[in-house]
Amino acid sequence: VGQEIDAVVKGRQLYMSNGCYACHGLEASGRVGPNLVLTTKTDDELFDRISNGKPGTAMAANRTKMTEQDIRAVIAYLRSLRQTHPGRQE
Amino acid sequence: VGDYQEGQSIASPPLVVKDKAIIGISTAEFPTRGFIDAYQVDTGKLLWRFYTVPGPNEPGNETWSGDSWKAGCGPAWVPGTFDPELNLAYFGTGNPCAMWSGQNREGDNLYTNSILALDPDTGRLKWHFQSVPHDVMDYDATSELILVDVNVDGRPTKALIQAEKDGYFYALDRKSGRFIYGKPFVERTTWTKGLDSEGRPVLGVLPTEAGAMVCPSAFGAKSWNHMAYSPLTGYAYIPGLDVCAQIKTAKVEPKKATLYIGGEGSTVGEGAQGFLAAVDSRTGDVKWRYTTKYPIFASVLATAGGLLFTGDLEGNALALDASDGRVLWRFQTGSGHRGSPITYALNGKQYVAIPSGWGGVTHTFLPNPGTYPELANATKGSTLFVYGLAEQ
Repeated sequence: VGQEIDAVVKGRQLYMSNGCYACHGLEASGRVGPNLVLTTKTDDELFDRISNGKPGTAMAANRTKMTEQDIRAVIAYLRSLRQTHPGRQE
Repeated sequence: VGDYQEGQSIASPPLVVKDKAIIGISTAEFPTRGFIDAYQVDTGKLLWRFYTVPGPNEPGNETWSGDSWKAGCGPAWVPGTFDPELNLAYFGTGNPCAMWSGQNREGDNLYTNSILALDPDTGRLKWHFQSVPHDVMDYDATSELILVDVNVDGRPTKALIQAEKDGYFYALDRKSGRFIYGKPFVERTTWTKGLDSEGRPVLGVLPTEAGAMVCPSAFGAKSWNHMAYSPLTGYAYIPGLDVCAQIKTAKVEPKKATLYIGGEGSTVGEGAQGFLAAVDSRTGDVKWRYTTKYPIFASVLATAGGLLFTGDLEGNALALDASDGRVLWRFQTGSGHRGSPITYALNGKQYVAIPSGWGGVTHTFLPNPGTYPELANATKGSTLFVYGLAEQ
């Protein structure tokens, strides 16, 4: 549990420092970019999108800026938001 | 001109003055330091560079806390204007970075959100006027600068007028930079309670960490599309929007090639509308206003026949009477307008060309759930319509 919390805290820091909030919002609930809390993508799909970006959109590839561990931490942070998001669906 | 890996880009063409092509960069909220360059037109050689954010030991650097100037932005991303008689090149500069969070950059943050008068031969700053010191709203001061001669207190004055994103219409003495007046051309401005006698704003509601509603939004009360000026009426015709935003700030640190925004914002639908405003350049007073459901994001053309041409986001190409704003003609093109009308004559016949189509912020930001969600499904064409005036 401690490691999971560490990953979430680190993921939040990375989410902010890498500018993800600029398009997806301070709480990842979506702005110009989509809502990442209620996303239906799997962890692997999110990993691929963060690593490689989405050509033709503002979503850039981050594989040269972030390590695999960093990306996994961001995903852990996004998953943690689902627990408290008002739009959470069971 | 710039290094894209530092977040620098070009958003507009240069201003050509004598043998020089003068161009500023866009920083687009990436943490870099803005500048304006002059290049020899026939060789491309860099002749001078003016940094819009002063470095250490330069006047104005004291308006930046610590080393925040290094990531200060201040882009000059709209073309400048030249006065050959005064031999001055005028440029407007954009916001400081981080865009919505000023915690890392205490001070006025010169020369962001400023109108600059440069000596085109040397790049030396002759004067500046900063409309929004320490901007945390993304207001920019990059709107086109139009040179007009107006009577101030009964005396003819060489003036410069600008309608800024901050919702104010400014007139300066373009020789000295002296503030003549600044008056709101949009109905809602909450960021300031008004300007003092030097043109400095008395601050009102600003963004906070908890969130605050600020008017105008970061779209501004006017986008980059240009206004028109008619010497027949002495009026400037401003395509505008009256839209507020809920803005939250967050302290962030600059990181190379990473957006340095420092918050989030959402436009608010309540009271949102667009307009075309006629402002008397002699006084700054709004003489008439034509309102629209959506922002007007097309430029305006004023003709010697007393007409105005523009287009709205609902697809209407419009002709209005420049004296009172009456709509005289409209044509439904099937797609919203974002471009700039022109007029020309060919073989004795007069034509008006108006591009119809969307782009930029119109399709990226406007359709958000709180403002204009229906625009997500709006028709987005890309067509040039050319209208011919009836034969006499």
